[in-house]
Amino acid sequence: MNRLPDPDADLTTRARSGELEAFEELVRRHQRPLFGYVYRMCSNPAETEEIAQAAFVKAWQAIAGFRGDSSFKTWLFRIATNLCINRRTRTRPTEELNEFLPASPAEEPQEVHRQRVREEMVQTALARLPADQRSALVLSVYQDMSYKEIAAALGKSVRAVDSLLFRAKTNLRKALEPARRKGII
Amino acid sequence: MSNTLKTMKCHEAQKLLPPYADGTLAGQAQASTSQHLASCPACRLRLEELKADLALLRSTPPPEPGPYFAARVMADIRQVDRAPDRAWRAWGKALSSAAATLLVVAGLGAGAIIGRGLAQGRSTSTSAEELTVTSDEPAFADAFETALTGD
Repeated sequence: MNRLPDPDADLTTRARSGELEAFEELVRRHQRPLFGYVYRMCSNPAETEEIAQAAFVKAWQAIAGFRGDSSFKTWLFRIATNLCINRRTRTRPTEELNEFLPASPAEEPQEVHRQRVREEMVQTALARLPADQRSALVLSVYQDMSYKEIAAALGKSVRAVDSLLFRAKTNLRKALEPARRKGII
Repeated sequence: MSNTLKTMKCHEAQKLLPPYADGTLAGQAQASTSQHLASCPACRLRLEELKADLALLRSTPPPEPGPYFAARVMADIRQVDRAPDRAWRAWGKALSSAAATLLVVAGLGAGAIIGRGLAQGRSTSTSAEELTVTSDEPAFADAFETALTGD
């Protein structure tokens, strides 16, 4: 099985030799996906920036030891995953989804309100999932990562990822059940 | 094959619904699931719910970082690089390498001295043997003189 060349290989090599400009380019390339991933993982918008920032700093500090066994992206996401899990910043998982649905301010246009409600539902439902299931699902849905890439990012086997995704989708369905019953989705 | 397709139970089909919804299911498993879904409204509903859940996730992209996020990250990195503890770590590393080198040199020196000492020790013991022989000499000489003098 041929592995696709890492599009960050050149920048990574330069960053490994201490070239800060090369690392800065890596930050620019990956800031959006990493920020979004951390946001979905940590369930705490206030901490998202802090954790995403810490992940890049850690990556810079450790890049000299990065062997390139996986792509830079999956390595970076692994660092971020560990930081998120260590923070244990999950939203209270036992609360019902509808308790989190925000009230509609009078001046908010209906479509904006609907999108905000959907956003709250997604974030709360994801927060209900165990961290490993949540990270596998978020990497699959929002990062379009293959099972192999998710396995590398989470330090698990492809078989374990398959099982994690199955359980994540089953649990997501249960977590969204109250909203479904109310006809919100 | 059609017998196999007909015998698929709901719980078996439901296990395959996530990869079926992703379009990653192939071969007979895919065909069996399709066949089951065609005749099972409950599993069809489950599949629709699963697809709706994933569509809900995809329709809500997470927020993006602010325009100065990368700049803040780089400022953090530069600060960490300049931090005194990092400088101390660098000094510590340099000192420990120097200490290690010194230890190796000292070890080699000590080895050489001990080696020389052992070599000298060996020649000292030889001299001791010679001395012993030499120390026997007066006794022998005394006995010889006694024999000659008849004392």
